[in-house]
Amino acid sequence: MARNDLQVRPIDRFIADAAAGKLSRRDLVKQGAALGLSASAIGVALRAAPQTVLAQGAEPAGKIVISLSAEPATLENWNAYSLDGHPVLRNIFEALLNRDPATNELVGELATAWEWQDDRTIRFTLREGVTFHDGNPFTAEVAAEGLNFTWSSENAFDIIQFMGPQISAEVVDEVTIDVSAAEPDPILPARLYFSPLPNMAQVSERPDSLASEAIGTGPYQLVEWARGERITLTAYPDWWGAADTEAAFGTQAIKDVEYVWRPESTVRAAQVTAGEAQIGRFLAPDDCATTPVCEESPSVETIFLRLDTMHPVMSDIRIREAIGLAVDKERLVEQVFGGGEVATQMVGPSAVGYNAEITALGFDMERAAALVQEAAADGVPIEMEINVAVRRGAYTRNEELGEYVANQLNEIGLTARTEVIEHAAYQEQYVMNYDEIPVERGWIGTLGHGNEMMDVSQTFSGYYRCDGGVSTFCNPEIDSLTAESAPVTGDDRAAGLAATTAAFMAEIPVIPIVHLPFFYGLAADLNWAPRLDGFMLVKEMSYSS
Amino acid sequence: MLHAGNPTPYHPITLTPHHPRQEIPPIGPYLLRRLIHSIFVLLGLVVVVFFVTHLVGDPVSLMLRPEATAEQRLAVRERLGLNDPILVQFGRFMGGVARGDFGDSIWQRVPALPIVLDRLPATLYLASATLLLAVPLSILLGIVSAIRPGSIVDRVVTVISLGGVSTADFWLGLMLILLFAVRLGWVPTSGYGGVQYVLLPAIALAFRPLGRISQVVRSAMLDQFSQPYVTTARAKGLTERVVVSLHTLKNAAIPVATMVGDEAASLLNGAVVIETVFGWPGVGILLIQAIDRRDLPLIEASVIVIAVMIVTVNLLVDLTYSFIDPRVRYG
Repeated sequence: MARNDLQVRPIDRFIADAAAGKLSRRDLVKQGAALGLSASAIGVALRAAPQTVLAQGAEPAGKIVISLSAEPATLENWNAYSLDGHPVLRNIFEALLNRDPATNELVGELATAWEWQDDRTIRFTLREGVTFHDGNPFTAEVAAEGLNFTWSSENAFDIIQFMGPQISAEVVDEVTIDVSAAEPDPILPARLYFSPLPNMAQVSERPDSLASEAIGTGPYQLVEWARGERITLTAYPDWWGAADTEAAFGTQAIKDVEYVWRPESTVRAAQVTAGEAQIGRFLAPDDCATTPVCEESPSVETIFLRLDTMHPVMSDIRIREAIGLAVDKERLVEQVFGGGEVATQMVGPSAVGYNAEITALGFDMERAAALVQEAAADGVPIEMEINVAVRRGAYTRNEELGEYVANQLNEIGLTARTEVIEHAAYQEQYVMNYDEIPVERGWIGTLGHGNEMMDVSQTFSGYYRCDGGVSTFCNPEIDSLTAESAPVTGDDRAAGLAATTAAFMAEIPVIPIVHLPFFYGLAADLNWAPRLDGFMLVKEMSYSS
Repeated sequence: MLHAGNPTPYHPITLTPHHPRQEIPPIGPYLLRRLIHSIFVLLGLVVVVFFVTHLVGDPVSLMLRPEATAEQRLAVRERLGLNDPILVQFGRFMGGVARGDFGDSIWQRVPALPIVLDRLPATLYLASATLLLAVPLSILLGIVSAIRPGSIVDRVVTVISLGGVSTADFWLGLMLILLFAVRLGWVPTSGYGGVQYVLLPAIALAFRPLGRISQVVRSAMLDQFSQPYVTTARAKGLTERVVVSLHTLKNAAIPVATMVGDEAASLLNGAVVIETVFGWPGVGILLIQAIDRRDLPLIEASVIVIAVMIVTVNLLVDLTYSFIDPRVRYG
């Protein structure tokens, strides 16, 4: 669902156009994919595009207005992980690592090279000649102190929820640091990509300014935060990436950036249509269709049903299977979510440990009803109520999904109702471990799960294990599998994680529905391909005019 | 029309110049009584707000992902001072309030009170623009409607009033955006700024007070028209314009002032839906966001600031009463 005039060109023409800089980054991705090129091949072409812009010697020019759904809570570096924070902060701050926008592989940002020293420690070689927006140099000392500050248990910034074993860093020499985890942590690099580095001079001299004055090393520097209204950035003239666009994976083609926020999807779309904004983020599919260009992008979010497996009805695996069979996932993807892929597990193909052999339960109402009757004949109390619990406004059309599921369950002979619950009250019930949940609660949560680390072991700790923070399922054998597979490194890691996922999904504690796409409304002349991780890096944007 | 035996009191405001006047008490003591009353209301509210916000739940459960460990939750609670006994937290809170310090917002990590005060101008601006549109128009419509009850004009005004009261803000706001901003391009879709920005949200907000106030004006005017002093005035040969503008309108003003005060309080309390639709940075949307995140200091600061505004509006309404009908100063 995008620009209508997109034409697929033969490979040779595609390569020539890419080399000549005639294709936008978005068209490179689309046409490359249509031609069946591998992600890495598209990545090579994408890296050529920014060089073209620089080769033309163009100074940063023009302005972009990006309409978000929410204002950042704080401009502190650690908030660059959050949905409200990263659209702004990832343009101001940089991390040791980034992801290649085309291949999704981890690549250097403030680090130029890295190497595992043992199963706990990575040695990073830092980029030289980098300065913060206030002129202070980025050094090994600043990098190590910045990581220790960001991941400190004492500071307890919200980002520590993405930490596994305690992270710490120390200086090796002027351009080298060692970053260690307290215990073996195979996804330590992914965690570091999630944590951009602060300006330690600001931290020590003006800590009170951190929340409102972001001073990073990134391609854009803060001009003004008019709270409640807008945030404006402008291109940082001394950004290291201007001299090395290939390593930076982008250019400062656009000079000024303004962020505004409108909670209503319809209004964000209207802003793009009226020309007030060039990007409207997270639109409802219907609203997106009204904008000049509607981009549908895969994400790391998966929508799924979480079943209270301790409930007298749902403790029976036949009932859980019946629930899965009664939900027409393909129809939901098409008619309710407006796109995306039917999910077979709680993570998408981008995650390490994704198991391509798992298939979704098909849609079969007759079989579902028969399973329910079979269970009832064996004494399962199918008249006990199941509560399809919906968190109000959690994602677009959440409420419709809840109504649909309850209706389908009633159709197959179960007793279900929908309850829409406000965020705070929902959270009280949601963040509850298997042992704490009352047996009679009988919730089916219509939930979303984001695997930002792109590694299924991140999902283990929440949902797979008996002691998971939000687990409604418990099987000691699965616990053993997670404990064995999570620390594994190397080539065996993906296979071990995938096997664990297969064992988990065979128990049907969850019903995956869709790998949720994100919809962005774009101005017609804007070149930008949304990233899988959802980051909105202005250095990857340009205008064709 | 004479109403023999009607217990409705005669209103001697303008038609009894030779009636021996009772001495009107000065405004000062009345104002002082109302002020002291307001301060007690606010003090009570501060206590209630603290305990209610602290008893409704744990903000940490909303701040961290479900996968966060118990140790990580404990560390965040410690940082926020939520592990202290509730009475210790209350003492700290009251000491802070006395200094105008509600603590740092959990969500935004800067002092809570300035965040709320920053939003105040936007709320006052939108409320003023809305009342400026709604009040004169609704008084005019109410009077026109009351002068000829049952006429076509009266029926049209009634339909407008009922429409205004029953139209959903959310729908109306979106329709105004799609028509005037997207289709016609006359004004911006949303945002905060000059007159061009406030126009659509103020129009969307004005419909409800327009409907309610015009109905109250109509009803109050009809009530006054049935009073003997109006018959007397007409019998003296005063024109209808004079009867309405000099006599009945002033006597009908008390219920209208009550309604305008009520609408003003409601607007200051936060036009949450309209602020959400138009991205208007007011106090209402801030309070909702704070509640969503259980940001205790920000909730407390917002509620107290809103309460101060409402108490002030009520005080102004009381003062208005005392000027319209000085007899209320005896109360």
